[in-house]
Amino acid sequence: MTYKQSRRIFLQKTALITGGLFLGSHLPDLRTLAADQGETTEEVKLGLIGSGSRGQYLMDHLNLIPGIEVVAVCDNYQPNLTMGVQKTGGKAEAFTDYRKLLERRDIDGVIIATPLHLHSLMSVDALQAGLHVFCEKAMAKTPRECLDMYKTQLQTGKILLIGHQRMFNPRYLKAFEMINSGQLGDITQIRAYWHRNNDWRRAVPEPGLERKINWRLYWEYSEGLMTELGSHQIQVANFIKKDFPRRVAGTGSINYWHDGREVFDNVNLVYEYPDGSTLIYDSMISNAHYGLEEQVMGPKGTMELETGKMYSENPPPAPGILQLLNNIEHKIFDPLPLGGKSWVPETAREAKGEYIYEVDLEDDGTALEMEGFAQMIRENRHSDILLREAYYGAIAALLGNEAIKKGEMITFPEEYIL
Amino acid sequence: MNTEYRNFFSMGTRLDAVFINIGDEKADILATRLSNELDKLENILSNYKADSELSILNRTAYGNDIDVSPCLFDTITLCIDYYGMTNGVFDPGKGKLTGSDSRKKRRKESEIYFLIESSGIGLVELNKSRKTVRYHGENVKIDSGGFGKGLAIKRVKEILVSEGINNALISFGESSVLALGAHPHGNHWPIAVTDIYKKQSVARLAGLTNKSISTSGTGFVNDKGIFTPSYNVFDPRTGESVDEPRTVSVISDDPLEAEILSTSLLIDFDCLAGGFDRSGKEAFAVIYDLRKNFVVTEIF
Repeated sequence: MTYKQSRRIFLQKTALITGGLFLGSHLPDLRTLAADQGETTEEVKLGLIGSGSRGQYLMDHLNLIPGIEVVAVCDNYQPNLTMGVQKTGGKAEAFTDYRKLLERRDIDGVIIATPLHLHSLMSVDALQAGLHVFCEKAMAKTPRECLDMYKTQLQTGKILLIGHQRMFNPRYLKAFEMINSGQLGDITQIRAYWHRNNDWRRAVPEPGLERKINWRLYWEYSEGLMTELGSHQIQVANFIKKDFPRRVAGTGSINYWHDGREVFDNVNLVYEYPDGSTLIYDSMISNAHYGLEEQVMGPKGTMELETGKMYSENPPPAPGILQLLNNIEHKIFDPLPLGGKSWVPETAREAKGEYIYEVDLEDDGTALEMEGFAQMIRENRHSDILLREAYYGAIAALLGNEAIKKGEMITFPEEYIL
Repeated sequence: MNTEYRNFFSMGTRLDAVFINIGDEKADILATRLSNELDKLENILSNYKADSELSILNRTAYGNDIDVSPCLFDTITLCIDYYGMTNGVFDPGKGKLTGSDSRKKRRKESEIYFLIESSGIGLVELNKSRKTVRYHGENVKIDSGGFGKGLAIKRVKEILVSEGINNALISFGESSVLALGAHPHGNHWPIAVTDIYKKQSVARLAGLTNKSISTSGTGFVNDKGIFTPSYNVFDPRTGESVDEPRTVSVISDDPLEAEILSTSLLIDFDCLAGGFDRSGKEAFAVIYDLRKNFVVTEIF
């Protein structure tokens, strides 16, 4: 399926999904996106800061979308810079200092895909330079930096969108709407995990580049699994709970990859929301059997968002049973209809889970997110809801690491509550 | 008056339970207990679980004495008894011919003949003292499809009675219903066997008090109103399929008997041995013609 086809389906489906009260009011940006803008779009000019693997991945998606041109690429590692410029067909101007890129007056916004410790610095500089910003997740490396970014957005009025592509994924949007409509009942527990079985390393051409290339493994630049993986899933949990966790406790360690890295290779946390419900989160990189999933549980059922399946706690009532109950209540003496053949679940669909979204789109939300960013720029319309989601997701992830490091239960600091 | 409703997945279908005047806590406890008990039964009798006791028996008992649980031993004993009472029409030992294996398979006559000769509950030997089972036919396969739900709902009845529940309605897959006591606003539980083509129309009414009704059919009507045979109802004596649209319902104190008889009478209305005790029981068929009209035939 091409992006164009995928997008058309997205528009059709999302128009229906975001027509629902919940998403319609909480994610108006998607509703606008869903109202097809047609093929003629005002050109949006972007600069890409950080053209490593993630930046190149984003470029691949940007190239699918009409009306977006990447005119400048910045990276301080030459092989990445070369690749980034190549992906623009050689048209983009190359920079090694992002501040020089920010001086270009013809750019509408920037995409920041650099190591975590640079997110806040670069985003704040870009916003203050009058540019709209898309910054990869997690939002920043410390709660203070997250708050700085949030406040800078408020001061400048420019768009700040953090890369949580699940908020642009139709399967997730459908799930959010279903969950909010009460199909699972009150959400009492969310279990989320992300398991991989690899060393999380990238090849290093010379030892001196170890920390630069494998920045994810060192505390100076990274917060490890919690920000690289966990922040996505915590943000999803927060959106479902319409809240953020107030306490977190857990453990983590390096229990397998004893290769000089500093960040944990496994994290295991329990987050508590104000209503007493919990998010149980873990991530590891020494076993991939269970992969990744967000399991959302309530008294009426379970939803698995990555696989897009819903499991009812109970089957649908037999035909006539509800009528019988109603009749009893109203003192009506009518018969219960009885079928001929035994009822069986539709090819066991109910018993084995039901797909919540019938179209399997190739895009995980990234291209739609890029398109959404461009559309927000055209309309000069920031989404405070999406930014708050990223903000609380990032801080919760960071507090998870703090809880592990201190070996204590950590309470969400008042100073960071917006 | 208080009504409690619970339902859950079980044995490949759903169980719906309506309890009168027992309170929500008791209803929860009962529903959990029933679900657990039926899970145990499924682990013994399922043909769909490779590791069920019956599946293992089917794979290993040809030419071998196999130890089985008292539950499975008693069940097979009952099957042999009903095999005799129905003159061989109820034959769960011909599962390769009549059970889930047969679905949508078109077999040659010679193959059918071979299966008839080399399978059947008549080729099952029970050793009552050692509680072992041995198959004497290489194609013996006991299929629980014709009695499993009946056994389940019989177990449900035992549990409810032991718990002092005297007013409840249990529907198991809508083809088997157990009615204890009576509808709160009547002197029995009214059950309607519906027209398979017009699902809101009643073909035959039945009033139940402390009885079960089981209905078996030869197929189902799809969304376009077309009857589709199941292709798994066969006369185990001849291998002939029974594909014309009809249902047979049996009312009995014993849910297992109701299930077994509805399965058997669906194939042959006259299959019951002369000495079979029909007192307190009812059996009727709803038979449809090509114009989708039906007649109700009272079998006894």
